[in-house]
Amino acid sequence: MKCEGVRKKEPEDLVISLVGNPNVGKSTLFNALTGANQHTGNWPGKTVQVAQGRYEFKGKGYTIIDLPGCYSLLSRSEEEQITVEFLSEHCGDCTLILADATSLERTLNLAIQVLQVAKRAILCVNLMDEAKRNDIEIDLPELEHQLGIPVVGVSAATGEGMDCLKEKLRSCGSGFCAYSPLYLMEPDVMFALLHSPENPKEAECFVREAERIAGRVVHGGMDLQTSAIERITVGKWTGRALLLLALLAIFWLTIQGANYPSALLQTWFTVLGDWLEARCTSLPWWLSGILLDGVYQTVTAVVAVMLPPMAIFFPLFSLMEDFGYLPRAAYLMDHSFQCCGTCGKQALTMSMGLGCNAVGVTGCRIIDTPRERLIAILTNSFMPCNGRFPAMLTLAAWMFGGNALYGACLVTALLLLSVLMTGIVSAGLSRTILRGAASDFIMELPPFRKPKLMKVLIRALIDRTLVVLWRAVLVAAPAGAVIWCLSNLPTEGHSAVQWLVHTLEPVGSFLGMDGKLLGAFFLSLPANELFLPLAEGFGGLQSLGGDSATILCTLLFLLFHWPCSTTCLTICKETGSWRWTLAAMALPTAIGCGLCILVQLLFSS
Amino acid sequence: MKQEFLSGLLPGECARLTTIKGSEDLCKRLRDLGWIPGTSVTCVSIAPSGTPRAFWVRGTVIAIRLDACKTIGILRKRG
Repeated sequence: MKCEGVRKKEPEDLVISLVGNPNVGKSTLFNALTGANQHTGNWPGKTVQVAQGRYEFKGKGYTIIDLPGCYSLLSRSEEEQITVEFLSEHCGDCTLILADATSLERTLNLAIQVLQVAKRAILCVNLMDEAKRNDIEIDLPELEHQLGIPVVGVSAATGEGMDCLKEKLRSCGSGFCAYSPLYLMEPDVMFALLHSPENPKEAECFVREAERIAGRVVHGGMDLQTSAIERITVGKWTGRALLLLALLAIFWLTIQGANYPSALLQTWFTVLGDWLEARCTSLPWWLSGILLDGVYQTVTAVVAVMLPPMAIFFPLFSLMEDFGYLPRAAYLMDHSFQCCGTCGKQALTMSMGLGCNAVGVTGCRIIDTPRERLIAILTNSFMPCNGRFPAMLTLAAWMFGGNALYGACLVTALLLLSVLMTGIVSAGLSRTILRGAASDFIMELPPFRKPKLMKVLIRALIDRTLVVLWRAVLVAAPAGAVIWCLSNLPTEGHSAVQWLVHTLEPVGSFLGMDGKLLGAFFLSLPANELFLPLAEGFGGLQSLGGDSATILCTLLFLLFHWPCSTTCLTICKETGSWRWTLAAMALPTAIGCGLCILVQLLFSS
Repeated sequence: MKQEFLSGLLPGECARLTTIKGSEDLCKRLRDLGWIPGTSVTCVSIAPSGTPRAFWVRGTVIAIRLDACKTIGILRKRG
């Protein structure tokens, strides 16, 4: 990354770059410093996102560059290259190194490496409160003495020590502080180490130095505690059983909990719609048609169907995430993924895909090798995103006349089917066009943390639920208007939608559905959320009736068909290739068609 | 004495690393996490299918696969 990526608001702003290991609270500190003033941008030529933010302190502006999290500067992965270039070209006025008080020794390794290249640096030791709870004491003055740079202890989550940090950044950023950093090697030796095939002996000296310093400043310490909960979550039988139970419980709570509010919202929206219709009698028929039957109907259908399940599912999922369960799930699943030629981190991107496939596809960056990343991207849309999820829940409940427990079992089974398909397709890909052995898998299992309940709930509701809902509404409103026009404004006797439904009828019935349902699938390309309201608008849902074969086919095709346009664009951006994007669309569609035909055969025999 | 490997370490047992062979990439990434000859490791857990396995190193739990464990030599601590 070159320095021109830095965008200062005021020319005299100080530029502070933030460096640290992944998962030491870098984003928390970034947000604590900048408040809501952050913006994410792409750097020239790179796809890795680097966030920038700004804050003011005592009349001076500070621009914070949140560099990608990395464990070391020597491994030459994409993230590390960006950080190394940024630091060694002295783009920032001061580097803020973030360390973790609960594992200071490991995080000091990176800190010492940064000292060799950075112009000026401050060490910020985060998670001081958590360390104290674990009886770890850190001698900050001694650490300052050993490293020769200013050291501040903070707890970014609670905001403790932030003022002291800002004060130090002010003095050090302007060059007024004692600064005589620990140099382990001559600059040219370090330069050679960063840019050429390395010498393990020299690289090890950073680790040994970190060990020596940590030995002097860390008193007391966390002993390895295998708590009961740790043993159960990764236990031989309990681990897998718990994983399955957790999924089942989440879906059951979501279906059961969402039923009533969904119906209530629907009733309210109908009442409000009738009231609005009575007010709009003076408008021309086409305008009230577009506004009420088009925009209003579609938007309210999307909100009523999506809001309740999302408001339950996202907070539950965030709680699991905050608790630290997801890496354990990846740990448990890794062997299965290894058999498919990929790695357990794919389990994490798949869970992200449950939220939104576009997010899941972006999340595939955590996978280290390009081959495995591509497989994870291609198969990500097999996981039902929350645009499809509410529709799946609704359809599954219908299949059993509204019985929530059977519905939850069916949804869990469908989810297992999509996991199985992901495995089969991944294995197929890694044995054919994307051939290669499974790479090394190294993953950190963070300690279980008690989730901050209120914080998680609020974050999940606002950041996920409302943002996703708003995006869905933004797509649904114009789509509702366009689709109303297509279905009501006749051209040569037929409306465009009638023509589409009629044309698709043979294909639809071949797949066990009908033209109306397939037409709804086609027109919900902008957003999968649209499927249910569209199918309802076309009268496709009535044709479902109580026919379980049709419902099952619809469910399967909902699970496996082309991803929405946003996801397609994201795939195109991440892979940089139209061919892979087309493959990502064709793969699930082919599987969906195959499964539907299979169901047809089974039910007709 | 027979060379022992990390794959022989059972949950709760601890040892010192002696050699880290494996692929260059693996060695590099383990070193970034502080795994070098002389480092003390404790086995935390073994996943149901025998791989991956989790180890406690320098205050962090790191999971690696069985085939990687087989390339890492250890010396058991006495007592």
